[in-house]
Amino acid sequence: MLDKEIANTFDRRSALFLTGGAVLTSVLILRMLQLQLFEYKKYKQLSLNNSSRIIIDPSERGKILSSDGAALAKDEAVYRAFIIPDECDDVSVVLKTISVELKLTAKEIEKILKKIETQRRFQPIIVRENIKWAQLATLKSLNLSGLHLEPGYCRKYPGGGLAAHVIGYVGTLDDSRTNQRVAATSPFLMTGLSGLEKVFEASLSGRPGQIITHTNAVGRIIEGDSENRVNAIPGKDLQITIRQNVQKKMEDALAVHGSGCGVALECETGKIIAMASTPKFDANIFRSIDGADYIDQLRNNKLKPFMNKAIEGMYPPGSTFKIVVALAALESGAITKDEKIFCDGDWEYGKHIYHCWEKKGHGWMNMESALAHSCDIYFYQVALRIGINPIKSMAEKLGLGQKLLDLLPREMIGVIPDREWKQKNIRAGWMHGDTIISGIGQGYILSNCLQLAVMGARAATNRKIMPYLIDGTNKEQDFKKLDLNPENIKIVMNGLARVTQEGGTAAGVSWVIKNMGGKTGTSQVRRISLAERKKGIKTNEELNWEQRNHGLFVGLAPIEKPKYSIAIITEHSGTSGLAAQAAAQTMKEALKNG
Amino acid sequence: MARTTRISRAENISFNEKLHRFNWPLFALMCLVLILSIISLYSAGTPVCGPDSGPCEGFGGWRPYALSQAAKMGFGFVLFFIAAFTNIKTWIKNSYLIYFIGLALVIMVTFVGHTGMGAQRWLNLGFFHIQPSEFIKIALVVALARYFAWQNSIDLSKFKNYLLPVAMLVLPLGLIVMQPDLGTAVSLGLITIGFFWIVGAHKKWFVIASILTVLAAPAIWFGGLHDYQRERVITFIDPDRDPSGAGYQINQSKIAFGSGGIVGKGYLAGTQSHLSFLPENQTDFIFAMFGEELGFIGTFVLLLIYSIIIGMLFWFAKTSKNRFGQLLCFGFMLNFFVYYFINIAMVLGLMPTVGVPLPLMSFGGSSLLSLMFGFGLVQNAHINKDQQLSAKGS
Repeated sequence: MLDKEIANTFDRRSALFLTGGAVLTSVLILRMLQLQLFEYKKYKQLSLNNSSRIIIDPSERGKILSSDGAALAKDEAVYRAFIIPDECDDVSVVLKTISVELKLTAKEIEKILKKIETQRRFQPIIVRENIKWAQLATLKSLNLSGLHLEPGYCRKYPGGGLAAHVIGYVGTLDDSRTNQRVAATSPFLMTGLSGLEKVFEASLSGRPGQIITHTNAVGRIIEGDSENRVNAIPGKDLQITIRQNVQKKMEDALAVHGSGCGVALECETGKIIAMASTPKFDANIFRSIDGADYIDQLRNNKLKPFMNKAIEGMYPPGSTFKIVVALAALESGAITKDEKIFCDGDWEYGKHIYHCWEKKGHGWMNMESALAHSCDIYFYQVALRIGINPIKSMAEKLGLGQKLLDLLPREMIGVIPDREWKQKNIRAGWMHGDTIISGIGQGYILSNCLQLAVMGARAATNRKIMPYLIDGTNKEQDFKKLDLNPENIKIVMNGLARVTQEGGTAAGVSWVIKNMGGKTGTSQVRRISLAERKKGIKTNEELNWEQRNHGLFVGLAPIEKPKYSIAIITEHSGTSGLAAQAAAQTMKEALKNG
Repeated sequence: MARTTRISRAENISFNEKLHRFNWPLFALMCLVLILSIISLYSAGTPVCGPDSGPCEGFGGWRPYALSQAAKMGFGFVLFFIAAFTNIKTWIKNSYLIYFIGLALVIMVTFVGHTGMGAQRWLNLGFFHIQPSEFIKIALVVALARYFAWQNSIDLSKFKNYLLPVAMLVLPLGLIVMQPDLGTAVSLGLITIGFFWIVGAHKKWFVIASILTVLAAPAIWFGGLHDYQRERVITFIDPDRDPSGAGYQINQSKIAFGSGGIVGKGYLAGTQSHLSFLPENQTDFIFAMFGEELGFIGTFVLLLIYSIIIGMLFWFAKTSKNRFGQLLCFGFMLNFFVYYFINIAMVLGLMPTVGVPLPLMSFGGSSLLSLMFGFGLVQNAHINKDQQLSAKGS
C-alpha cells in the first residue's frame, strides 16, 4: 500500500493540476468560441473574398568572393517564365504557344505536363529561368492567361566549378525539404544545399520580401490588389581566403591525373589559399534542361565528384608521415642527426621481413639522406627505437588526427593509432610490427589532405597553425609555440630540401620550381603477401585501378623560410610523381604574386 | 543510495484476468481519436487524378496521408498490446533502458540527424524517418515514474534525491534545445516539474528554481550560446523575423479555423485548408483544418474526448495502489495534456509556432507510436493497479 503521507501529498497536490487543467481547457474553449462564434463573420469574409496570400519577393543572395575579389558565386537578375495550371484554359495549348519562342522540346513539354499532374493546380511551375529581353517582349504580347513573367535571381558560378566543393551550391527549397511550407508558395526561392552556400545560408540569403495579395475563393490572385509590401533585404557577401589563380592552377594540375585533392595554405597564418578536389562539378548545369541527367551522372561516377576529398577523404599518409617520425625521434634524443643506419633493401625483425621501396637498398643513411631518399628501413628502425607514443604525440602536435577547420560538413578526423586505440577498435594487442610500419605512415594511420598541409606548416614554423577559410576569422595572434628544438627543425628542413634536389625522390620538380622542399609519399592500399612478393610484385599498371597506390606530396617553399605549405594527393596514381608535379605548379603560381 | 528494487511480489495474472481488468472505455476513446485522425487525413489528401482517372476535382484522398497513417496505426496497435499485456515487471526492470534508448536516439539525431522544417529532428533509419524527440517524452515519463516509485516520504524530502531526475531531464533537454525544438523542450521541462510537484518536493525549491532561472537567463544568453543559436531562439520568440512567414501561417490558421463557425463548412469542403495553403494541414495544423470543416461542434467534441481521456488517466493514477502505476499514469496524463494544449494553443494563435503535433491526430509515425505505446503502458498499470510492486513500505 502507499504510505499515508505520500498518498496525502498526491491528493493535496493533484488538486493544483486539476484546477490548472480546467482553467487552461477553459481558455482554449473561450478562444475557440471567440474565433468560431464571435469573430466568425470576419473570418468567413476573409476566407470567402479576401483570403490573403503571400508572394515571396526573393532577395539577392550575397556573393562569395575570392581573396583577390573575384566572384566565385553570384546572383544574376533574370526574368523567368512560369505557368499556374489553374489559371490556364488549356495548359498544353499554352505550352505549345510559347514553345516556339522559348524553344521548348517535345520532351520538355512532356516533363512539365507530368509535373503538373503531381502537384496542386494553383502551384506555379517554372518553364524557363533565363528569359532574354526580346523573348520577354514577345511573350508579353501573347497575353496568355496562366503564363507569368517575373523578375528574380538565378545563382551563377562564374568559375564554372572552380572551388566547387568549397563553395557548394544552391537548390530550391523543395530540393532541401527543409521548408516545404514556403516551397509551396515560392518555388523560386533558393537555399544553400552544400558547402559554404549551406554553412552561411543565413547571412548569404538575406531576407526575402513579401507581397501580400488577395485571392478569391478558388485561390486565384486578384490582380492589382496588393498591399503590405515588405521589401527584400539582400544577403551579405562572403569574403573567403581562396586565391582564384592558385585554386585554378591546382585544379588544372590535379585534372591531369583526374582524381585527387589538394590544399595550399600560408604557413604563418593558416590562410587557405586553395582547396581542390577532383573530379569537380559545375553547379551552373544543375538547373539547366539536362541538369537531372548531369546530376545522375555525377552521382554514379565512381570517382565521387560530390565529395570534398581534401577534408572528407581519408588516406594513409605514407612517407609524408616521415616528417612526424623524424621530428619525434630527434626530439626524443633517440637518434642524432649523424647516426647512420644501413639499408640493404630489406630488414628482418621478429618473424617478419620489412622491405624498403628501393629493392637494391640505400646503403648507409643518416637523417637527412633518409628523408631525401625516403628510406623505409631507416624509419622502420627509428620508429621501433622510440615506440608509438612519441610518434602519436608528435603527429597530434603537428595537426594530424583532429578536426582543424571545423567549418564545412563531413570533415574527417583520421586515425593516429596507439595501444589503446588498437585494443578498442581492432580488439588486438599492439605489436612491434605495428610500430614499425607506422614509421612509414602505413598501417592504421589515416589522415586527410588538409591535415598534411597543416603538418607542413607547423613543422616549418614551429607554431600551432590553425587553417581558416573565411576572411577575418584567423587567429594569427593566438598561435601557440610548439616548442620543438629549432635545430631539429632545421635538420628536417634540410632533409626536405634534398628531396627535390638531384637524387631526391622528387628531383623532377626542379624543372618547375627551384626552391621548393617537400616530402613524397606513396601509400599502399593493399597488402603485399609474402607469396606474392616471391612471385614478383605486380607493378601498379597490372593492378586494378582501386588497388593502385595513392601518390602524395607535401611541399614547402621557399624552403629556407617557407611561405606556403601545399599538400596534394593523387588517388590511385601508383606513384607520387604527379602529386609532386601538381604541388610544384601550384606553388609556382602561389609565389608569383604572393 | 544503493537500493535494490524488489518487484517479485507482483503475482502473475492470467491473460483472461488481464482482459477482464483492461479498461475498455479508455481503449475506445483512443480508437475514436484515431478514427477522427484518419477522417481528417483523408480530407487533407489529394484525389486520384491524371490521364487515366479524370481531372483533379474535389478534395480528399487516401494518399498521401490517410493510408500511410493507417498502416502506422496497425503497427501502433501491436506496440499498444505488447505494452499492455507484457508482465509489468518487464517494464519496471527495463524502464531505464527505455530511457537510455530514447536518449541515445536524441544524441544520434543531434549528430547525424536530418534537417526538417529548419530544425534537426529526424533520424533516418533507412526505411523510416523517426523523430526521437517524440520518443523521449514517453521514455522520460517511464524513467521518472520508476525513479520516484521506490522513494519514501523521507527520501522525497531530501534535495539530493532530485539531482538524478534533473540530470535525466537536462541530458536530452540540452540536445533538444540545440536542434532546436522548443516545443519538445518545454514539454520535457513541464513533465519533470510536474513530477517534482506531485511527489512532494518542497515548495521553496520551486521558488528558488524560478529565481535562479530568471537570474541565469542573461548569462546563458550572452555566454553560452553561439550567434546562430541565439538567432534561432529569437526566431522562435518572434516568428515574424522568419522570412518564411510563421506569422502568415498563424494568420492562415486563424482564418481557416474561424471561418468554420459553429457547424463548419462541411467535410472535404474546407476552402482555406485546401486552397489557400494552410500549411502543414496534415501535421501540426490539423486542428485548424478540423475546425474549418467541422466547426465549433467538431472541435469541442474533440477537446471533450481529450478531456475525458485526461480524467480517466487521473482516475487511473488515483486508484492505483502501487506507486509506480500511480506515477506512470500521472506522468502520461501530464504529457498528453501538454501535447494537445501546446498544439491547440499554437493553432489558435495563443502561442508562438513550435513544432508539437496534435496527439493521435496529426500525421506522423513517431508521435503516434510513442503515444500508443504509452497508452499500452497505462493500461498495463491499470491492470496491475492492485498489485504490490514494491517490498518497501512506500
